[in-house]
Amino acid sequence: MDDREIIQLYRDRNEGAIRETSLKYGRLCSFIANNILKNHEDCEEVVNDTYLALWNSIPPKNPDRFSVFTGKIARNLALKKYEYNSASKRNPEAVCALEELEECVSGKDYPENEIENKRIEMAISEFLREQEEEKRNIFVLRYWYFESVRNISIRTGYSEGKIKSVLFRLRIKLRKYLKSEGIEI
Amino acid sequence: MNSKQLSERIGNIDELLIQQAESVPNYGKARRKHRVRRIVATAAVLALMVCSCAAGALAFGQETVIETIVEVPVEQEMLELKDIGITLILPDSWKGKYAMEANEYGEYHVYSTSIRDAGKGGGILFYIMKWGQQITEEQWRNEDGEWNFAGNRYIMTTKDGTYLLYYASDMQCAPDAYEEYRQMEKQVKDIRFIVDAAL
Repeated sequence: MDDREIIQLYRDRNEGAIRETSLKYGRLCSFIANNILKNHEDCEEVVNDTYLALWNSIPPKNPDRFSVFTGKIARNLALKKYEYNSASKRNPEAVCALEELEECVSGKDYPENEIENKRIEMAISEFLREQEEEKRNIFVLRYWYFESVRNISIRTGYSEGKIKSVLFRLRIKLRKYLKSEGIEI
Repeated sequence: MNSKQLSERIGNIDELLIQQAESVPNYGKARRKHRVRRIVATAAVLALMVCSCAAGALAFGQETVIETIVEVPVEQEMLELKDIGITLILPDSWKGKYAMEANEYGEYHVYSTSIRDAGKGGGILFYIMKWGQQITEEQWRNEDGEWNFAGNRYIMTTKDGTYLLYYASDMQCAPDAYEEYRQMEKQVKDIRFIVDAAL
């Protein structure tokens, strides 16, 4: 079923919307949740919560890219669950990815501000647009999808060493870029 | 900002970028295909050059003159990379034919000036990197670390880190400059090193 049609089901409050979402994007949600949590029960919970969140947000929301909108919800819910989990229960791969991102920032808690958050998000998007497609995709796979270096290597056909190196350089560049944009990191 | 906050910001980047990454192609396969085609094309050019030289020699039937070259020892050609504490002893024949440039990633590129100045390509012969950690030769040989993003040769590990020599990837010169580039490139294996802080 087309994404537009699925969204219309939500707007019509037709419960078939959940079924169609599950058929089309259930795997994507599980994939993202699993990359972060690596626990079957937690993943299932996140996927179900994703459907509920979609039901509650559409309407009024009318996403342009339904797959990404769904994936974002799954990602955010999985990250919340990840924080809630004890250190011993956390997925080492997700721990690794977040530790890598520590290189880009000072580590201090940053006071949350919606306008500033939006500015940072736009800056990161702009930074990524300026990169070569391959490098950009590797970055997004690692830090948005939380894919393991090994899986990224298999998907892109590059060695794990090359993937690690690309990520390492992008982190340095991102840090410099954010600083140059006057963003306090 | 902490890493969690940065991760949340990354979570809200442009949706198009997220969507593009979902269906990432196999870049490695595409590049290998392209590289094979380039090697075949270069081999074809070389074969033509060899054939035309042979044809020319036959046509003119010139006597072959054997020149005896007496080499006079000169001062060694040395390139000091002060920032990372290493000195390279280059082939004497490279004198006046190369230059060095550093980039933001801590790579020190040595390139052929004649190729670059003639606009016939980047001319990069090799580059040196110093990694902050101590990597043993065994680790270098057996582990697939960050350092393995390109073909490289182990130089040395010191108390300050590890030096690696990287070979230039991609074609660094136009087909008509290949012979000239190759002359220098095949001597990269003869380069020797002096390191400041040897263990």
